[in-house]
Amino acid sequence: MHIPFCLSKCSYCDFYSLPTDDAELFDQYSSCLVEELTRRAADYRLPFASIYLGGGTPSLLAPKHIERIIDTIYKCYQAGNDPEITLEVNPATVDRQDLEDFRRVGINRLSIGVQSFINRELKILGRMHDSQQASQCIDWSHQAGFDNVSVDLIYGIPGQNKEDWLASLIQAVNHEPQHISTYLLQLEPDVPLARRIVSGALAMLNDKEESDLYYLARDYLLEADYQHYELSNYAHRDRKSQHNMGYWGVCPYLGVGVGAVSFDGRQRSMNSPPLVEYLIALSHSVLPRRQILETMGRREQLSEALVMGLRLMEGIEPGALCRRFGKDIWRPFQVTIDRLASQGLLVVEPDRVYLPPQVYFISNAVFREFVD
Amino acid sequence: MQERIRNFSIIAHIDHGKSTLADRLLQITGALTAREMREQFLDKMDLEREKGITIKLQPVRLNYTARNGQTYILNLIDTPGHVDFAYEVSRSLAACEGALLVVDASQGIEAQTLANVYMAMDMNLEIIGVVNKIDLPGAEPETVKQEMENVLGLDQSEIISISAKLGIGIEDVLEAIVERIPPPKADLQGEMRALIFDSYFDAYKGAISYIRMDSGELRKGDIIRMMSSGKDFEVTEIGVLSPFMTAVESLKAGEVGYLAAAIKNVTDTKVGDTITLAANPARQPLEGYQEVKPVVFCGLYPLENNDFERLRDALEKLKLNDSSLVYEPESSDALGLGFRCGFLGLLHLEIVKERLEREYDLTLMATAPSVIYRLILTDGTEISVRNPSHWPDAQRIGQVMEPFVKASIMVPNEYVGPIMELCQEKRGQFINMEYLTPHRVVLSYSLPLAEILVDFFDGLKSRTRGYASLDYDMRGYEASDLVKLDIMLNGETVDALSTICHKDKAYYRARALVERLRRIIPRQLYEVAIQASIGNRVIARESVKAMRKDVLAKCYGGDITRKKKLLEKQKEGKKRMKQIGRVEVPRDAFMSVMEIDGDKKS
Repeated sequence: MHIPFCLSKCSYCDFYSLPTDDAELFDQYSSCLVEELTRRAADYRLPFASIYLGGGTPSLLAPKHIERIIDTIYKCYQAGNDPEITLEVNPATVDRQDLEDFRRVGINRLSIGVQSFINRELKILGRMHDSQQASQCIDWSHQAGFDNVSVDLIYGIPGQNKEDWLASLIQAVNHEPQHISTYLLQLEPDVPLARRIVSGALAMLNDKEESDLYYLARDYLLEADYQHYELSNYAHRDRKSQHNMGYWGVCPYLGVGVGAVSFDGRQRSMNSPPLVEYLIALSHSVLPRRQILETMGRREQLSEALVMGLRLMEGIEPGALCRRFGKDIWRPFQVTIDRLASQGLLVVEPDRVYLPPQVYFISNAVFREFVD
Repeated sequence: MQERIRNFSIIAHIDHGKSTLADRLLQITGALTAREMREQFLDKMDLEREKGITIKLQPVRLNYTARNGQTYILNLIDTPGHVDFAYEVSRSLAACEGALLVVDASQGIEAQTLANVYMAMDMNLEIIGVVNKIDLPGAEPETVKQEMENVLGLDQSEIISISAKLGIGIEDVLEAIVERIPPPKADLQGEMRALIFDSYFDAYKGAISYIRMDSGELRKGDIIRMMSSGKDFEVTEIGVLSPFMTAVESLKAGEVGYLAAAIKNVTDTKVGDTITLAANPARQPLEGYQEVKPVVFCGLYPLENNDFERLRDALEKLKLNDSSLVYEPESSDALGLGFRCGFLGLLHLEIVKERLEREYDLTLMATAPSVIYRLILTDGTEISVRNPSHWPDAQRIGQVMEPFVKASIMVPNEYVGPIMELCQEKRGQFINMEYLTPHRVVLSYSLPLAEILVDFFDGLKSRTRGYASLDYDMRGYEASDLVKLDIMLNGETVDALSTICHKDKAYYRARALVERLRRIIPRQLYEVAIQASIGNRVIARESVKAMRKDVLAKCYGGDITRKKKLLEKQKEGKKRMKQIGRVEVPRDAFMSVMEIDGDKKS
């Protein structure tokens, strides 16, 4: 579920979101989400395994909004077994009471956008909170009773050295979150931070430095008893993100909200911006316009299953894919797998194929070989 | 009727406004309506319009009613202005009785123009001097006229001042053509003879020849004979270009037009050949053209190995439009099957490569251009080497000779110093210097052709702010101390990257070369060692460090389509690379080994 509002845009963000704090707009948008959920229910009969409220800054919505949304989902859709319900939280937007309320209305997992515990870095990133607020937010979430909390961290920030990165990692681990995501700062050309780079005011790290930070995080988090289960994600005691596991397993999903993408196993489509069109449509009980992003044939579906599946450290199961897609479609991919294995870019075991760790940070070299 | 035909060419340096003048002539004589008018009409190829130069001449017929009330047929045969295409100028001139010499009013005569005017004078053509661009701020038409009189002996008072751009003086030019250029000496009664001065391949009509009728008359349906091969063909269409193809029933002596005869085989219409009638053949062919000999060679290879046959077909077709192109199959360990092609110069090479890629949808790799070297081996045999990878081992070589040219460089005298420096760097030997006017000189140097190929033109341009012009003639072979420079990638010699260079420059070149390759070879999964060697001795080395980062940090539901597109785009980029051993090399790397010297200055 996409909530396209933020108090202000971060300097590195190119997602669809609008800076606003207009409570009335949040009200109206929540109603539209409810309306969309209700109207689409007929087409989505599978039980859901997870709900993810992302953005933007979904924690800008009031608990009562979230409550209506979750209630609607339970009313109109069939729930799977103990679904994971995640809310993305910006530490600048919540207090302890909010977190307690979120938990009360059904949220059972938080993904907290900490990004860094170093104020200089938070400033560069254009975050509205400081390190102290981020710490407090994690503490509150535990106090509110959340036992499944994820912390997002960013590395590759201009000026960041190994010590800085390690300091953020240590602070994160000290708060004992169940899950940590570490994201390399990768800028689209039109975001504000990219312009500061182009102007020469700031410099990105070089490839080697970024690679070193990546493997530093991996070494440290493995040591701290986190499982590295996806290129950028770590889980403690197997608390992987169920929702994201669905993406990497190429499962179908329903996207709700403006800019949200849905996938039925074959086709991806997006609720087209702009926001105003979305609001008007649903206020008049019309489903928002959907724009088809891609339609895949069998071969492309398999190609995607490989590219997404190999992001997981456990890799893919060739036997299962071969059975699912048929020998004829599978065969050329097997040839590619064998070639990559002979170059040391893949590890092939009888029932699994996966990336060796030294390839993680150059994994596009592998993924490229599976796309057309 | 023949009395009212005028056949003429335009001789001009690049940018002196020849094509603009041609456009004006077309417009003023009503050959083109305003709607059909587009800039540089006679520059048929897109390539020509893009580069702003004329490569390929296209004849055109104009009807002009002169001030004396008579209507004349003016056949304009456009000419290329670049030194590479001097032979096409000579072809055009052979079909004419006169030539317009167009000179830029602020630039003065250029070396290449001078050479072409001398050629026209040798062929007894009437020269009409025209000073163009008199509207420009820096124009000095009187000085330029003075120069034309001093250098070429034209009568200043007969030189016409015009601005082709603004349409000033165009009628005076047309009147001069009518009054001063003689009509063709046409023998209407004699045996039919026509000279093929150009030809091209048309997918529907077969080979189309541009012809200049010398004597007799040619009709549609006639059986013609190619005098060089003796082959006969039935004429399916003849016509004139006014400027679009317009079919006519017959062409008479003195006229210029085109001919189609369902000629399928591209080699059957040889430029310079004489056409006669099979029923009443002429005894003597017309004086043809000297066959042009290519001086620059390079290997052209399809990026996709299975495009080899398509490349062969494309070369065959192109050869019809371009008789100076020669090619023979060759193979390279690094690049697979391809052709060693011969060209008149670098521009010619570039144009052929671009046309092959555009018109025949091929993706090509070109190796570094090379001249033909003559080697006397220690066992006394003499061999020619036009592909550096065929260079024998040093111990088998007795003597090496390379082609030299006599270069004439025309330049304002304040630039003599920089030009002399350039020529010295290029291993030139001074011949002499002559004053054309108190301010302009011609410097003559003997230079290795190979040195002119590298970046001589760029050097001239940058050191004289564009005021120098160059012309050159082949002089013959002279002994030189040359060596073969090899490039190794991860220890494997890449034959397609070998070049020949002078011993004294080998170290510098080797350094520049490995440095350049280091910059253009992208990072790969493994470190790539780049070495330059002479024989077994490595004289320069660099390395491309292994790739460290190539990752998509985030890949979630809303973003998957976009991330996959990114991967596809990256893969597309890879396809433009050539895999050599384990190393992926950009396809233009092979050509770029020649651009070394240019790097240093820029």
